[in-house]
Amino acid sequence: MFEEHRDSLFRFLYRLTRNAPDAEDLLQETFLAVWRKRDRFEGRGSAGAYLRRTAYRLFLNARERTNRRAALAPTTVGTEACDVPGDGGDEHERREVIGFLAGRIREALDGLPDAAREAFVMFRYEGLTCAQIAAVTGAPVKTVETRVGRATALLAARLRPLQHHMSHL
Amino acid sequence: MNDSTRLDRIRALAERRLSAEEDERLRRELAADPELARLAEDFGAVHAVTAVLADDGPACRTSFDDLARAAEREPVFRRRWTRRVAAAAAVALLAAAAWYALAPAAAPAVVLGAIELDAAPAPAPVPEPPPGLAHYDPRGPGGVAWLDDFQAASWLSAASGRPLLVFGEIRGCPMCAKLDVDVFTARSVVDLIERYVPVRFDLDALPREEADALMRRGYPFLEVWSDRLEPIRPLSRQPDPAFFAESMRDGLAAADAEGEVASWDELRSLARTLDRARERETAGLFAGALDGYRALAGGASEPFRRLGDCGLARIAADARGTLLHAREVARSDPGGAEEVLRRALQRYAGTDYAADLRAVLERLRDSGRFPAVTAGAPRQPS
Repeated sequence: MFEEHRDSLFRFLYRLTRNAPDAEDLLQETFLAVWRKRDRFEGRGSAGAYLRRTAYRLFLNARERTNRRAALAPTTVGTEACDVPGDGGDEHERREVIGFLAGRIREALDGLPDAAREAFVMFRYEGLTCAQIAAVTGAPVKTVETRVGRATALLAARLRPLQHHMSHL
Repeated sequence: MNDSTRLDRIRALAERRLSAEEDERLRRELAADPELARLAEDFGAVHAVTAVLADDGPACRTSFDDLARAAEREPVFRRRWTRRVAAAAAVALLAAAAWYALAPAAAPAVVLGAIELDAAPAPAPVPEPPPGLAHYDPRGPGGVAWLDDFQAASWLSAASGRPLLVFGEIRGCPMCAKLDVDVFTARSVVDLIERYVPVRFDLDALPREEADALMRRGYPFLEVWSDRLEPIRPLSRQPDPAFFAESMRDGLAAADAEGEVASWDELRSLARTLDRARERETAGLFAGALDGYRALAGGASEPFRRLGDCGLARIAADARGTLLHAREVARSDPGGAEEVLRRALQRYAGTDYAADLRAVLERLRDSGRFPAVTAGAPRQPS
């Protein structure tokens, strides 16, 4: 189970924590928690969903303990420094555009309210449906829809002006 | 498919995962519901841009062995405590008491010809020109020479009769770097920039809402603005000098700024006059400073006129302050007051104020007491 779900669960946690060391810690804690309570897993849902739900709960606990998002804040978030243009080449330009866009997107995601950001990340990057997100977070499906919709509107306001950069990729 | 909510289907639409039938059904729903259509449009835009982060993140380094070791020693989530930094500030309060008493006048008052006894109202703050204007040319050796201070640029726009060419960027933006290399160094653009006051700013330095509002008008942000910082017209964002030059010409027409304007040489000359006047004022050579300020105050450029008036008012206030200070010192130290006036006479040599100060100094020397002073006939301002 570890081998099967390790990478996807790590990516899930990394997107939530935005910090690789914290994601690694939570990953370990998730598997250990599931192992300790393996008798409670009734096998009614998928193991992946059960792991995600546990991981999300542990993530929330960790965040609550630290009581501030900064404690789980990214160490690498921000606009990446770009090389000075001039050495030419489409690939160089492409890398620059990607670095720039990635920085802006991370900033925009960080600017979202916690619940909206988490719902959006699961929806957009983990490919979970609203119902699946509801199962992970314990929130009603309608609430998940509202959170993702709100995140979408906020992100659109911030990111739409950058859309034309995509033509350089 | 299991997608059930409207949002799920909107995502599937953005990812082109809908069957033709589902696609058709959703599009009908969108056409009937503007709010849903807007959400779909927003999500489509966000989905496209955020694809950049789809494969973001490092690889997982936790192995099964790590997990086994952690299990042996009872796992504890290692929280990373953020250091809390406490700052303390100490504030000191000073109390001051001021008192005024007139020395008894034993002799006829000295009639002042230049110094105003009544304090003039403090002049309103006058916006400053851009630093280095005496040597500024928007046509820099490496392309457009941008200003980075809106207040100064607005001042220069008003003083020169040229609209602002406003360029808002985000640090590290490759599009902006491309504009720098391909457009803002192009001959046609640099020649035309002579008709503008170019100002550049960092969108990240603005409050987020303000930056977002500007970026919604176009990014990279390029617009023609008036000297009152009102937008007049957007400019081309194509990294093509010919397009941009054409767009600049349109901008001049829209700003009604195609006619004659003061040359940059004239503006630099006025700025040099101002710089020299201020240098002389700082050096205590008030006659030279007053000449410069009077030249500016009588000139045609309103912003420079105001700076000239301000300089004249400042020196007038200094003269009055010097006289009152000497009177105060004389209450306990007539010799000290003489010294104050002697030093002031050096600063005011060659000005109308010198005669007043000299008259007071002579009376002080003769009588050992600070004389009564009175205002002369009202004078016309310089």
